[in-house]
Amino acid sequence: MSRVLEFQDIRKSFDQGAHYLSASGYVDQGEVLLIRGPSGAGKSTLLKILARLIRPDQGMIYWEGQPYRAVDPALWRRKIHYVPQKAVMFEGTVLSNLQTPFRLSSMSDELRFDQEAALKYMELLGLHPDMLEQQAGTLSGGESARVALIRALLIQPQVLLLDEPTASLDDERRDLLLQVLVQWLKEDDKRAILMVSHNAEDIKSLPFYRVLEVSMHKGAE
Amino acid sequence: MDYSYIPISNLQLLLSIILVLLTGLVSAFMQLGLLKSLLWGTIRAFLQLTIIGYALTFIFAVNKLYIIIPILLLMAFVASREASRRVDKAPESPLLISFLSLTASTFVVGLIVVMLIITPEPLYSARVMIPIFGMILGNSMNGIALALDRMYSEIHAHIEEIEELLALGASPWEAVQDYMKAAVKSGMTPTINSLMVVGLVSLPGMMTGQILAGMDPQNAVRYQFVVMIMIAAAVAIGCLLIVLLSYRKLFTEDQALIEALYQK
Repeated sequence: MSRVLEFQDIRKSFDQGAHYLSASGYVDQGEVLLIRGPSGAGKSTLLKILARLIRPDQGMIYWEGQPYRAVDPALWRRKIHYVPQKAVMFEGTVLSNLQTPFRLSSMSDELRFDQEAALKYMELLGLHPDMLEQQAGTLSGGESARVALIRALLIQPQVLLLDEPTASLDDERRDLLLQVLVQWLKEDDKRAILMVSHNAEDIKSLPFYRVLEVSMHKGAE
Repeated sequence: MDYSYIPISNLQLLLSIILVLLTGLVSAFMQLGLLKSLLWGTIRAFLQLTIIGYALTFIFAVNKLYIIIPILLLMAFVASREASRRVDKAPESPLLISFLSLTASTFVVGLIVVMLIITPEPLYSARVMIPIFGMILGNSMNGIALALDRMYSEIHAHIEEIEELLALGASPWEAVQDYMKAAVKSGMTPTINSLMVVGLVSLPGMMTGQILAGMDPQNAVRYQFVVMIMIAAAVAIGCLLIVLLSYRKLFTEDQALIEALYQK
């Protein structure tokens, strides 16, 4: 298996250096890396660092061997794509939300919005097709989380960085979502997932995973 | 131009103290505790205006560009300091970008007004340039302070949306453009509104001054019109510049939001 994403000696300090997050790890093709740790351990921060939404104080990140500085940030974020725990919906309908990334200049012509694929994912995740015309602001937390995941899948990332993707879902919908993720991994052998999850049930549904424990250290700086 | 204004003699000026007494009576009657400030304010206003009166007399008499330009730059600096003082949400002091925006917008618009529209003799007349640039600066200062304040409020209120857009592959400008537009609009709105009501609700100070100085109202109106649209243009350019100069500073070289924005 070849390495998709690797991060070495990532360090990020908080509260003027009183605490710091330190992490190294990697994820290979077809793999799920579960990021675990107590609340406030910096799990979400690590995902954001890997998505280049937060800059680490030190450390290196490689995507298929390329150092992160060598890759355009917009391309990096689409390919190594972060989905926050609290789904962000923009003004407008669900359809408009799903189309948002395709209106961005960095998308250019390489990828077009695929409504069929969107509808297929909606069905798999238990969302009614009529929802496309619904105002996104009226969705429940669980519905928003699934729409945000579909939006992420439609831009065809290679690595998904998922922050508690099942947190707002009931058991039945959690299973649907995990099935979609497993299927997504299988569709293309280059893909990988890094996932923060507190839920033991999540892990049961995943056929292949490794665990990375993360914790916050007392500052030596 | 043959103006016939009524001068105020020293005795008449002294009589204006009656007005200070009236103000003081209000404060004393209502126990507002403003007497000391009123007294200090009156003295300061008198001294400041007297000094500026002498300074302007001197500057108008010399009327050289090497004096006029530094004075205009000093005025722009003072205005930018005041504008940046009013913006409390900025992660770093916006003094430099305020100065650049105010100076650029004021000089572009001011020079058009002086050189093309008013055309005094000589073209760089301090008597024309200093009041015109002063009016532009005073208004642009309010405009850019409003625009900057609004820009940071919008960013703070929509930080998750901006982050999400970045995650979806947006460029920094694409991620914040809606908020930048709102900021420029917010800076320009008071000026546009004042265009709507001028002459209906109040007579502007400059026009009133010219009428008191003996100018016929129709001429004073022409000046006032030029001043109003000049202010609108300067505010628009100033707000646009300050937003364009500030937005880059919101992002790291990695095109992510700077961390200071998360902490405020």
